[in-house]
Amino acid sequence: MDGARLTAAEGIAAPASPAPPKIHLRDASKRFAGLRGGTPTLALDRVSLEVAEGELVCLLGPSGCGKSTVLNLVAGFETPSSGSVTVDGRPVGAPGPERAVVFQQPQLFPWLSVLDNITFGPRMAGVPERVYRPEAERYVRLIGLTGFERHAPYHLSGGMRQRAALARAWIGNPRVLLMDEPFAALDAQTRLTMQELLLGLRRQTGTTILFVTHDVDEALFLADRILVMGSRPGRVTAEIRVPSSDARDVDGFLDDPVLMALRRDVVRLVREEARKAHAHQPNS
Amino acid sequence: MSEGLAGAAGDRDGAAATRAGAVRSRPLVSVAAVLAVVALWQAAGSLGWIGPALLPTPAEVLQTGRELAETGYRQVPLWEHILVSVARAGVAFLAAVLTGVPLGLVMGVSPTVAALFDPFVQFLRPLPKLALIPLVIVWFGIGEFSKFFLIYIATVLSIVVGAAGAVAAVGQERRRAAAVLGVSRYQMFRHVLLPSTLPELFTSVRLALGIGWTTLIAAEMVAATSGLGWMVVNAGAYLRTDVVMLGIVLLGLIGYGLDRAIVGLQKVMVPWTGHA
Repeated sequence: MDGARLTAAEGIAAPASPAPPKIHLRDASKRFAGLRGGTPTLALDRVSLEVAEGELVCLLGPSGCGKSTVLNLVAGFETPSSGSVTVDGRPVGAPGPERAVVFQQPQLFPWLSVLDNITFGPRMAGVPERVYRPEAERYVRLIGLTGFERHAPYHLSGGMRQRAALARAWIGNPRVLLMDEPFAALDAQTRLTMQELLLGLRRQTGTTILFVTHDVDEALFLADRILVMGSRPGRVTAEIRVPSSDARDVDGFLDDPVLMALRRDVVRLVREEARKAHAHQPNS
Repeated sequence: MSEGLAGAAGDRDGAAATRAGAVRSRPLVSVAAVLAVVALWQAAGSLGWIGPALLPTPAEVLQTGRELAETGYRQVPLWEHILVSVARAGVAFLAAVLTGVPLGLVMGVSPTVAALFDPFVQFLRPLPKLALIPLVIVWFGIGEFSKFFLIYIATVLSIVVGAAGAVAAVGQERRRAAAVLGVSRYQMFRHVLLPSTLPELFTSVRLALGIGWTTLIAAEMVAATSGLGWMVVNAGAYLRTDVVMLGIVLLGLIGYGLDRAIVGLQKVMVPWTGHA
């Protein structure tokens, strides 16, 4: 509920190297027990990665590469089998509002209005209404849902629901925002609108974001840095720094020859990983 | 705003809801079907296809209804038979809801409590409750409590199982979405799991109501002197098929009415039923 942060942080400073990483995975592995005594699966194999303060990092890879597992470790939904996961230098514990998550499905509570959904976290934390109310109104405005505060979530379109989910995650002023393919279920036009909305919100708040996607264009459009992941076992196979991520818009993105060249490279990388993953599948 | 309001007649409604909607949207078809069956029933008697002792016509049943409403059946007014039955089933059913829902919810949340009660619930639930009648008479005699107990035991178990299942059916994603918003264990139960289970709870309660209403006959076979169930059984013994038919029609109509009442309550309390 720190109002100053919303207006103070205009633009994102380039991640300064001496600052400690916001999110830090060190040799994190995750092993899932096999079903009915079957062989355990190594979902993540000694993954190390850092996300700096204010940075937007995309985890990009084919399904089954463990990118969601990375996110689940940071959120605290799962614990690493070995290695460490820290946020702000502290080991990750149980899930909480300081590590907000936006899921692929909005996961709004259908028995609450849009506004009550957005203010759910502060209300559960016992924040007085005079504190969270103006904050909620600000976010409703930012996400463009003015006039829909009293609507039931199921009367909204998919895109509008995901906007509300975004506001619900953001209102608690999280240290990091974790997004698990949040726009994958939306149609192409809505997805573009949502991506621009996300960048706009992030410009205003400076929130550190870890964003999982399988969409190359989405990763290039959003990210400061892309980590390409490969599967069996899941690991980071390449790191791509995306130039000039500030004040990006869709037209500029499509016209940028540097970005389009980068896109070719990334598509090749991802296809290579997908091909390898496919070759490993016993029944294919 | 690039996206508009989604159609209010959501495409996410389950198939069941759609079927119910189809019935509601074609009331004339339903009414016509009922009238046709009643007419056929009347014709079967009037045209002498079936003897009146076997199948009294709707007109005769209606006439019997008028008579019983005035003079009563076996010295007991008809409205009292109805009231007694509704009270018996209602009290036992209410008790089953008030105890079964909390127990089921707690079983759904706590594996220890579930492990404690599950063997008994699972043993008793599929047990034909009529088998309990001799024991119930020996234990509780032939008073009102035996009848209450039979209806209670018949309904409470399916409510417990339904409530526990409703908690288990709350998806991992919803629990996680609540967890990252910082809910305590109690808040998770009160503000997330409880409202999430309401649609399924209503379904369990509806099913249990049907079971309870069915058990009424068995309960009133235990040495009652009033009640619709007793009236039907007693009239059968004296070959008063018109009274039997009247009792069946009344039991059916009241059961239907109670079910509609629960559905109405659900519409008010859980308007989000069918919406993830």
